[in-house]
Amino acid sequence: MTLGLGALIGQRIVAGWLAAAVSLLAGCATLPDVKPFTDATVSLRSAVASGGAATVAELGRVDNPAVKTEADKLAKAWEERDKLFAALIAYASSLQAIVDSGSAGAESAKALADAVTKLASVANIVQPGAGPAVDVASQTAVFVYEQIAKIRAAASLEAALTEAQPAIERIAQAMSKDMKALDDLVRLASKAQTDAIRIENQARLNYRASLTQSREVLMKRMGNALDQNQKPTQLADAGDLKRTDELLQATDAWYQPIDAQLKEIATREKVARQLIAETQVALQDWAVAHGQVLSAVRTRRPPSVAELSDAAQRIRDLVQKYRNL
Amino acid sequence: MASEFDNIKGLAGWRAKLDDLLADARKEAQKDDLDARLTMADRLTEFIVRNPPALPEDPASAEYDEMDRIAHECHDALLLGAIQQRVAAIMSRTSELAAIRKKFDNETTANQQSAASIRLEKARKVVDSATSAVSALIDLKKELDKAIDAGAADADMKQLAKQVGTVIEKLQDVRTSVEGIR
Repeated sequence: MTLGLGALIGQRIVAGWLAAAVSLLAGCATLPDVKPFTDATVSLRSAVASGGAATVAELGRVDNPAVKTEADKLAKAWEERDKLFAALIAYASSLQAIVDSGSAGAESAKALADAVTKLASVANIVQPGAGPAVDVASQTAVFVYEQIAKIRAAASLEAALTEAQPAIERIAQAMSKDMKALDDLVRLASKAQTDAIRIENQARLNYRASLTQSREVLMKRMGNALDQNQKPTQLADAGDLKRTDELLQATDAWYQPIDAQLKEIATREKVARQLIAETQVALQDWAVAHGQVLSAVRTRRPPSVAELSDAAQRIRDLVQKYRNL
Repeated sequence: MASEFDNIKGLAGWRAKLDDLLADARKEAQKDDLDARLTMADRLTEFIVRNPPALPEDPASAEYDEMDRIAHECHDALLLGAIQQRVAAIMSRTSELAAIRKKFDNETTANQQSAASIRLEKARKVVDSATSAVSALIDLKKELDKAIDAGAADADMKQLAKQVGTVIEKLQDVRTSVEGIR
């Protein structure tokens, strides 16, 4: 089919009006940046997994078969949380895919135009003289579709976010309760470990405690004597205090390794609880951020995600810190 | 630092102390106050650490050992009970979270389909399939024409060649219509 000059000009005018109209509509379709939400979801998965693993490990360190059984039950229940967050990462990526598709409307339209051209070429149905007209039509179609893709993506994104928001809020709620339970479990497991060490070394610790108690009594008596203006060298208790200090020093050989063990448990407990607390806060931020992305699509304003990015970074640091222990 | 165990004297004193501790532990076991429970566990541990050590020549040793055993069991039961409650609470939420996960799996699939649709993937696949089909049709038409030229074609084959030719012509009509829509 050969188009005349008039037809060609007419087609250009129609295409121009169409492009302008679609462009006006597209001005209303702004696609928000969902990458911070995706990144935060990835960080949350790692934090939730680490928090669960840390708690299972602490319970596993308690020398009690019944507690180990509970550790196994927790590990099994936590597998579902890991699967849930893997699904949430896929969901966040699918939001990203919608945004990317909306932004790549021109490429999509060009790819389709290329495919149509190939079909026409294979079928040998593009007639001489039709080339420039087809080319103009394709360029217009590409431009128009670039705008349409944004509109379609914004609509799809809004529908997807609206559908998911209640479930996101429910996850944040349920996981927040889980995090509180994990925090309690870490405290309980640490207490059980600490007490086991103290009970195992009860005789020696009792001996050291009695020395410490004696020292305190001697120090108090000497303090009273000094208040009555007695010279330190004349104090009756000075010799006893010296002996008590020597005996206390002698206990250091066995006490220091026990103390180191207790401090190690305390350090692990502190970092695990920090990680769990941060994860709990981040879960709330994450749910709010999902709502903000939805609001951004509706109001056509960029979402505020700086806090979410900060929380994600803090979590990454804590996960690393716990892994390094 | 003064403690509740500083002034306990003799076996009877320690026995009375254990009775007090067990009564307090029973009360704590009824509540769900973790801080109070951990404090109770601490008191029981302190009881075990602070009561007199077992001495071979001391006839009271066996009784101290028995008191330690009871305190230890009470301590472990307090902590285990709290651990079991929390693990059970986590487990009770698992099925709900599994249902939510399935919902997100479906959401993800729907979103991926939307993204593919916006990328015009389906339209491209249709056009690509049509391109392959047209290639095959043209090859078939050539073969049929060769057979007809060689006089080796029967009436059915000639009819088929005609039909294939018509399909290719229809494709050209479709292209013309599409151009008109543009």
